[in-house]
Amino acid sequence: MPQTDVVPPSDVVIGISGIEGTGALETGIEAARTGIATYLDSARTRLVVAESEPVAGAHEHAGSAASARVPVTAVAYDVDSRDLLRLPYHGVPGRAHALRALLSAARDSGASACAVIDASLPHGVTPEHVRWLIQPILDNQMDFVTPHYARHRAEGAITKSILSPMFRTVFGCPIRQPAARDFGCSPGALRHLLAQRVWDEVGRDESVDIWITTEAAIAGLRICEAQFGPARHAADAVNLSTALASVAGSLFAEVERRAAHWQRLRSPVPVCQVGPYAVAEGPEPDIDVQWLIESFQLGFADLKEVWSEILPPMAVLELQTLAHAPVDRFRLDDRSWARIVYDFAVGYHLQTIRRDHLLGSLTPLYLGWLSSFVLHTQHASAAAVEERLEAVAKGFETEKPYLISRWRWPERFRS
Amino acid sequence: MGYSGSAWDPQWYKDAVVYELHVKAFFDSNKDGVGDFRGLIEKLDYLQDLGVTCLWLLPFFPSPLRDDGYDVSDYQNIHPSYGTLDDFAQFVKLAHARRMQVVTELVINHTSDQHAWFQRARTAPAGSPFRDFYVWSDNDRKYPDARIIFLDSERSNWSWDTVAQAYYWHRFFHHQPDLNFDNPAVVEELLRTMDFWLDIGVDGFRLDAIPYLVEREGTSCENLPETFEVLRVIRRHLDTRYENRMLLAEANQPPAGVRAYFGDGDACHMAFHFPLMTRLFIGIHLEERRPITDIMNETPELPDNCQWALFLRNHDELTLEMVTDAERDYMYLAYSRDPRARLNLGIRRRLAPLMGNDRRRIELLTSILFSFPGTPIVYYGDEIGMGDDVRLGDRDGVRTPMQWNGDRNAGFSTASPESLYSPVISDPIYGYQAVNVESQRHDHSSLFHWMKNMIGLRKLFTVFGRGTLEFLSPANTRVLAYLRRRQDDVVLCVANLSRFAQPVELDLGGLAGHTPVEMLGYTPFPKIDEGPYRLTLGPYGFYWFELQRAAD
Repeated sequence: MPQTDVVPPSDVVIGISGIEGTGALETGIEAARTGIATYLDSARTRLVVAESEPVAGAHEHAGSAASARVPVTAVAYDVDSRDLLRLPYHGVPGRAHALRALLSAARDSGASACAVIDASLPHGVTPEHVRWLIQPILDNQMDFVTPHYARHRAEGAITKSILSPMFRTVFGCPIRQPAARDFGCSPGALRHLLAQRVWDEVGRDESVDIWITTEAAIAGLRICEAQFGPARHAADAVNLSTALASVAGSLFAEVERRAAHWQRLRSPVPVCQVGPYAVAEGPEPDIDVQWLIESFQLGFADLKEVWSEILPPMAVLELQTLAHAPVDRFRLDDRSWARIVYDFAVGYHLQTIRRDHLLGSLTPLYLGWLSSFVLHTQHASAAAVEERLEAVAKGFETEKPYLISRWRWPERFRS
Repeated sequence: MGYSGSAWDPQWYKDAVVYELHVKAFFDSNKDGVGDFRGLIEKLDYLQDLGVTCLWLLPFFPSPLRDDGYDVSDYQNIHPSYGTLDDFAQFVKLAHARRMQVVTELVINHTSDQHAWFQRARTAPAGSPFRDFYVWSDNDRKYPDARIIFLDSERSNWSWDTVAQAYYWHRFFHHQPDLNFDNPAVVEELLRTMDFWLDIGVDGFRLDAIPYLVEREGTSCENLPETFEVLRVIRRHLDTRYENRMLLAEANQPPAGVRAYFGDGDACHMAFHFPLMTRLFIGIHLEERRPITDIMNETPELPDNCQWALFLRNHDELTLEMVTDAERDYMYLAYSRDPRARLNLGIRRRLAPLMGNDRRRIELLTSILFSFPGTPIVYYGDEIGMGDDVRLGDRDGVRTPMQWNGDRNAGFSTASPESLYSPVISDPIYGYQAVNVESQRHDHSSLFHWMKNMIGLRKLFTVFGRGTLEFLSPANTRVLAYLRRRQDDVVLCVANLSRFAQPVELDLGGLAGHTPVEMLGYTPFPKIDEGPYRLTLGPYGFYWFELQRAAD
């Protein structure tokens, strides 16, 4: 259990986590202060910073901040030595412990609302975080607020192609960023999340964000998606395969853990929207579609045998056709893509091959989907891109019975 | 309230799929021919892969092994052949890490005559507390109305002890003297024994032979009120000191008789449903559902925190104690033409041989086991269709080494074959070269994979463990049909007990508008309307349907 300092009674708690010593925490605290001053009652709001004990100077940092008009309380959390050895997607060792410490502090302070913000995110902390993560809870009686950042069509594509449509279909919860590292919580949501007994499990760091969102979705919490406007995006400094394996692995793990729930779920979870509609800003990054297609083709040549362990013969045949398709006809059908992702989820569940190999072999397929998506939307408006993404999600929904039947009665594809 | 169990839900046992095994029979890690805890640890991945959620271990305590460990000589230790207490603690920890609970035996009715308590009692003065750990008499005429259970080997429930110069009471073998539960010191000792294992992390106990704890003149010495009071004392002790633990009663009685072992939810959490097991075998052989529906209709409601434990086969003979003489004769004719298969009032055979090695019949019975109200128990080896050896004595023929592969000793041990605790099954049909885990894991159409899929499917639906049961009454009595309901979940199960295809018309008018979705393949069937719902089932075929409402 983390050692938690006493947080005085507060109406609102803004919890901030992040990698210490990088300056991000200090920047985040100042941005949060501005947000509190603008949108909340400073006298009844508390900033809480999660600090890992091994980092020297952590408490000095908190102490210096405490002199400002919105007091800051530091809560310490343990970092398991195994966390330091991992290379998590999120890059924050002990993140699950940090979140638990922040949520515990908020609960113990009796807060009516709590926001948790990751200061290490590329887009950083803005005053708007405080507003949109807290107001839906205080004003609209929401239990859980999850953000949506407007991005260019090919940005956040792992989320767009796999995480969001599968999360929406499997857990019946149509939110666009189920692995967001910022969220808002009501007291009920705090109690519910902290009552779960999975916090100490090894490996939770990499999947804690998806776990939290999943828990909110299946527990029947009132969920709100807040529009945060354009993301001030900078690419995560991680390898694509690592990021894909982390996101897909975390999602598949939740799908496996919650199988008894989602296989009987037939009514979607209502999700309300708040915040202004926004589109991505700035120039769209150049996408080298030819490189994407060649990566897919190379992957097909190298990994066809591996895919044949996971995918049914017809799917492999479709991929073979795609690998030989000219650029102007390079299209991966939405339902075929959904079945591919589902087959990988089933393969993950059955451990058909080693899970790290399975997730690694997903990368060229993802690049194939991305090629198809970029080509399909190369002249599309922002609204048309949204329609395309909706069609992708519909493909996942249409194929949900396929996932269920494969899950319940797996078929071996190779003798 | 003290130590918390490994399970999160206090009623975890309702959703469990239990796997019964004998440590000695599972895997031998030290090449001495006897399975051990280190070997069992090596096979935990296999059990996790199969999908079972609870391991019930047969006795592993120090014992002269004259009744396969049910003659305990030390309650708080491990038989040296199976390992050490540290090995056991490690096993419990690793099982819990795989989200499996561990249930052990609490053999409380009797001890071995080699137990220190009995050795002390026979030399203690008559009437002294130590002497009174057991039940003594100057003559062998007390409690004449108590039946003899092991008819094939015992002639009386009393045996003469030359040291004590008195008769001692035993309901089972003569080397298993019954403890005296009128002596509070006995109860205290047993509670201490419980604490010993619970503190290590054990999640529950199977209470062996508990109808016989207390004796009273003029009674059958079974199911006495004083026995139920002992159980309540045990339960109070458990609930006071521990969370999320479970007591499972072995009480081979008619369902109405077993009801008392649950008390008002303040005695045992679970009890075996012995009569259902017998009726399932009768029903499938007669190709007639009524033996099954009749016994379920005689089954009383249980308190909310209680549950039936269901099984097809276990480590004992298929007991025929609680059936009518006609039913017993039928069972002998149907299932034990070979007289060597008969033992006491039962049939000592495994599931696959009882089913004539007919895969469809094995699957049909298992589907009923998994879909009836209760917690299913799978006996080790039955998931691959292991056979038995009626040439072996007592019940040893159904306790042979687990068949892991086609190598020497079935992969169970690398010891020389003659040093195994039991010969492996080696006949052409059920022998280890034909029936083993390795080959079945590679064969995705094997019984192993079928069992694994069915276990996985059952675990998705708590309605099976916690829902209500409602039989349908189609005119074709070769078809068994029933509804399971829990909250919004409604499941329809239909089973053809016949070896031929059968049509059936089901009255599902009350569910008009629902769409039956076949659960294994998630295939929608025609919607239910006000008229009869028609199905055709193949030989020994069965369906499980989720009934989905139109609004869904």
